[in-house]
Amino acid sequence: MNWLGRYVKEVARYLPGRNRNDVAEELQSLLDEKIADREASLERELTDDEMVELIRSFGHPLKVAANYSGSNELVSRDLYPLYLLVTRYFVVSSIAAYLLFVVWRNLVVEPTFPGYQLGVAFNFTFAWIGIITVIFHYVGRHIESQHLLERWNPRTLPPAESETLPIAASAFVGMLVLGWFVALNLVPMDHSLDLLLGREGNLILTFVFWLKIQAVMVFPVYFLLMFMPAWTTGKRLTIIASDVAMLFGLGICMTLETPALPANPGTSSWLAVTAPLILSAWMLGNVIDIAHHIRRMGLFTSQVPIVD
Amino acid sequence: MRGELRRGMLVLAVLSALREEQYGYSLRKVLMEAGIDIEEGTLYPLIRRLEAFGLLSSRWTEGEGRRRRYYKISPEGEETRGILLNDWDALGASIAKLTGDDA
Repeated sequence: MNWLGRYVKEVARYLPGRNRNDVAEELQSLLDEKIADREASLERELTDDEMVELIRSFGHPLKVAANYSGSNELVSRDLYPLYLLVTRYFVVSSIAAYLLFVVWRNLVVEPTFPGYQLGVAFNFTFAWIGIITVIFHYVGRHIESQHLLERWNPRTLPPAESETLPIAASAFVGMLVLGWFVALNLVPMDHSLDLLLGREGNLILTFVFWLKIQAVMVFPVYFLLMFMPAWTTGKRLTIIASDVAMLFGLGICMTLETPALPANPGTSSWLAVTAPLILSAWMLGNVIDIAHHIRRMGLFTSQVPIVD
Repeated sequence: MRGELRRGMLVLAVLSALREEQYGYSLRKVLMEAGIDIEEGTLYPLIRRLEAFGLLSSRWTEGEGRRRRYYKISPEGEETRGILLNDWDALGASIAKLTGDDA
């Protein structure tokens, strides 16, 4: 029974491709030495049981291969607490967004059973957890390979008086926006320019399309704030741009008629009243947000802006 | 706890032992004779990692009817060994101070 060959082949199965043959050959050579040594001391060949015990003591093939594989962390130790925070908030906000979506659909569109689009939401949520994990993996590898944390310069710390966002807050808002994006993607729609510009006459879908655009612009800012918590001019301008884009979209939506909802006729009149109110409120919110960030940037005031 | 302490000094032990060219199995024997018992499943991958970092150089040879991969410390390895040795001496002095105070 070729125990050695079986063992080395099994270890090699789990080794990274580039060094596999070289490592396997060396492993074979080392185990040959060990066996030869034992046989020399015993002055006889090893029995089957002794061979099995020798291999067993060397270690499980998975464990030996893992030792040869170097780093075995999916997310680096330095980033792990942040990663945990982000994924936790994301799962919570995805669940909340899904529940809101079901309630909204039940009230506004048509009676909806609680499991509606649950499979889609589930797949989307866990696909994004995978994407978040991959992002953290490569960010961690980059940080490690460039020794960024060792080469850190305290001069890059934001001034003590600068406005910063606590990590928990940026993680929460960031993941809320991502969860919001998850929910918006549950609304079936074709992403066409005509829909975006209101030419299809569908108020709800046009509104949702512009909400998605806003979410896509806002999310990177809050993701970046988790690693660089100071509000810089660039970040504020990005938020302002997203608000301006949303205002433009809301302007388009305001020109569209409130849709009839044949599947849930009881809500049609309710929607006719609330839709303009919702759009106006969203507009007001965006205007207030723009004013807030402009004020923080120190424009049009005598206030000295916080240095970036 | 003891494992953490041992893991910390393994690189220094291996670099020191490889100032003389060795192959994996003979290196383990040298370490064991010096009182450092290390699992083969840990030692051999460690040697390859040190080589990947440029601290060791290696070559295959044919001898006694089998192929062996010999390792030796590189100039970068010598430099690293020097740094680790200084750290080790400094740590030893610190521990001696702490344990001396307890005595």
